[in-house]
Order: sequence, then C-alpha cells, then structure tokens
Amino acid sequence: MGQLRDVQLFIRKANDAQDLPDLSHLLDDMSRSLGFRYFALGHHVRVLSGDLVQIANYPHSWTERFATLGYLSDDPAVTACQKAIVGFLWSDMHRLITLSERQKTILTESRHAGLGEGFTVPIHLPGECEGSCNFVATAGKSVSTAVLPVAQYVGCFAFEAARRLALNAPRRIAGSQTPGIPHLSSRQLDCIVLAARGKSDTDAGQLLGISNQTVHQHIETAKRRYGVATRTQLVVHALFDSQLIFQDILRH
Amino acid sequence: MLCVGLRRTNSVVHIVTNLNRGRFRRQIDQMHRDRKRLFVDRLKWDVSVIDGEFEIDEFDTDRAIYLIETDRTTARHVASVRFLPTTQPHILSTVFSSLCDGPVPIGEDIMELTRLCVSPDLAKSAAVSMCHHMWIASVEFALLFGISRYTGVSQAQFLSSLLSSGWEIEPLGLPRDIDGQITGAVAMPITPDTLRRARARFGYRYPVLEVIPQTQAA
Repeated sequence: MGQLRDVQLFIRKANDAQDLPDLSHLLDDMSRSLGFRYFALGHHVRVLSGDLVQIANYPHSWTERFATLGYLSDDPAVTACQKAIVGFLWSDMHRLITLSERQKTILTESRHAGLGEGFTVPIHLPGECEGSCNFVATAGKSVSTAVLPVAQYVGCFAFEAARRLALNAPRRIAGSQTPGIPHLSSRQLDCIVLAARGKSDTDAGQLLGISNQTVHQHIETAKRRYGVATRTQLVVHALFDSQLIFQDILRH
Repeated sequence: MLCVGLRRTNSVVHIVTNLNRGRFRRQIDQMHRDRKRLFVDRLKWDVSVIDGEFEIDEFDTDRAIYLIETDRTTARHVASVRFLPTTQPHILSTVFSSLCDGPVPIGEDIMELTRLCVSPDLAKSAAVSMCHHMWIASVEFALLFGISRYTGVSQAQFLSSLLSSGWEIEPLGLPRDIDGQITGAVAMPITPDTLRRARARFGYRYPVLEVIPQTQAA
C-alpha cells in the first residue's frame, strides 16, 4: 500500500507541475527514493524541436560527452527500447539486443562517469516519436527489483506530464501575437552569454565572481521564465528576442 | 433503442444491449470470432474458446453492454468493446481482484471496460483509427449514461497510449507479472474534460456519436 501511495502522490504532483524544471525536481526526488541517483526522460531525437522534450540530471561531464560524440543513435538503451514493450534493467539488455563494440564502449564509459545499473521504461505512442524514461543507480550500487513496478508506472506518468508541459509551453511564432518578452536580469544575461560561449557553471562563476550554484540558479530561473527545458533553447529564445546578439557570443 | 453513428466515416457504432441484441446476431458472432483471433491467436491470452472459434467467457451475459462498430457497406464487425456493471461479478472483482490494493471499486455509476477489440483483418492505420473511435465512443457513452468512471485491467505497455489519449488513469494497485505480461488494475474517471482531451488528441471537433431517437431506430 505504501508503494501505491507513493505512485499516487507522484501522479498528483506531476499533474500539477507547472513547467519542466518542476517535473525534473519531482523525478530527481522520486529516483532517489527508489534507490536510484539519476534520471533521463525524453524523446529519442538528436535535435529537439516542436513538442519534443528531454530532461535529465546525469553528471554534466557525461551529458556533454554523450552529445559531443553523438552517442544517442548508438545508445544501447535506446536501441533496446525498440525491442521492449515494458521496462528493462540495463543488466538484462543483452537479452533484447546484441551489443555492438561501440555500444559496449558507451556502457563502459557511462560506468566511468558514475552511472551504474539502469532501468529503462520505453514509451511507444502510435504516430509519435519514440521516447523513454530512465532511472540509473550510482555505479556499483545494486537495484532492488521490488521498486521496478513503481518505476514502470512513474516513468509512464512522468513522460505524459512532460508531453503535456511541452505541448503547453509558451511558444512564439514570428508575426503572431507575442505575449511579451520575459524579463531577464543583467546577471542572468551574463550567465546565458557565458553558457552560450561554452563555459561551465564553474568557469562562468569564476569569471563573474559568484559561485557555480548561483550561476546554475540564474540559468534555471531564466529557463523557467521562457518555459524551456534546456540551455540551448534558452540561448536561441534569448537571441530571437534580441535580449542577446550574436556578437555577445561570437567574436568577443 | 439507441443507434449511434460516427460522422464522416465509413463505419457506424451501435450500442448493443440485451434489449436489441437480436438485431445484431451476425455482428456479435463476428465480434466473438475476432476476439478469438486477437486475444487467443495473436496475444496468447489464456481465455476460454467455444467451438474452436468464438472467444466467449462467463461475463458475456445479458448484463454486458457492447459498443460494436460495423462497416457501413458490409455491415461487418470492425471493432468493439464490452462494459460490465460493477454491481455484479466482473473480471476485476473475480479473476484479478488481487491486482487491487484496496477494495474493488463498485457502484451503479462505475462500469468495467473490457475486451477492446479491433478486427485483425484491418490494416494497421485503420486499426489505430478504430481504436480512437472506440475510445471516444466509450467516453461519450459514459457521459450519455451517467457513468462516472470505468475500471479495467491493462497491460503496462498500453498505459502510455491511454494517458496520451487524454484518459485520466488512477492505478488501483501496482502492476504484476501475470502469465509473462506486466498487468495492472486501473480506474478511469470520466468528465467532460476527458472528452475534450480525447477529441483534441485525435482531431475530432464535433461529437463522433450520433444518437438516433428510440422511435426512429426501432
């Protein structure tokens, strides 16, 4: 009964989530209470567009390496999703797919980055881009199979909440009635410029004389004001609205 | 009796009850045949088969209500769903009561939704739109007949589709492995908002059900 109540509570909170950062916090909490450390929820696409969504709390170093090396199309969990109808443990992945050498490399590297056993809930919606919700334990830590039914349900409900938030997120189309440009403080804009120049939160913090957590907070607040999920979206929106200009980011 | 039709499609949805089932004998037979081909042959469910070709269980009685969608040209069964009153023994209260953590929801305004079936003869795209028709028809049926929620047993892989179709889903227990399928009991509250979301999702701007007055349908 306790587990069911946890799921019911999560569903209620996920339905009430106002934006993707809200939902990220909920998933972060839920992952930890199930004995995991990380989550990643999203559509399986390289480039986000339209109503697609990707949120995660993986270590930054891993997220960057994953994007830079284009690991998504070879991600073994993504490939295994195509064969799976319900959630699977990463340690069982070999039963679904034959891992290529590159896929074995990705798994090994992910362990070095601190990612251990994972549980992937595939999301197949007719006529829509495929996605998944992943829960990942710290490397070396085991996962109790008793939590997997909870993770299965949480993954499905979280994905639906993310879909809804992405669909309802404010979007501006050139020429349409703009609801007004969100206000960004000069400090927030500083942080966005540095992020757009490829600086980490720590580097940006040093340049601005503030802590990396404060930098992170400025960027999260700005993302929330724009109703976007990623830094890249934030930069594009800020450029589009001329809150930044390209010269801020290039040729500095 | 009521007769319910879908606009602008080549099919029509009938509400079939013990009062009018005499007019639908052929379609009911086809429904049981299609259910056997879908649930037994394709999905490998362990359910009873009569005469080797009809999937009929102990709940296919006078109390069951069916929505049966038929092709306008051939009058053949293309999709169907079965509703059982929860005030009588039904699947969740008998076969799968262990899937509910608490008491099985029972009430005059609660019905169990079971055996959603699309004919295996249909191409995949047609099958998907028949499913959409059945979902919308089920919501409209509930609103017309004062049903406040459906209960049912769903395999976990269908949960995302249900959610994305606008259904509000309340788990009644955690999913379990039943014959190799991760299966869970759920309740689905129905409100006018459920209908709004389902229509928005599938692009229906108007009611898909056309209710013909009793006198004309007779």
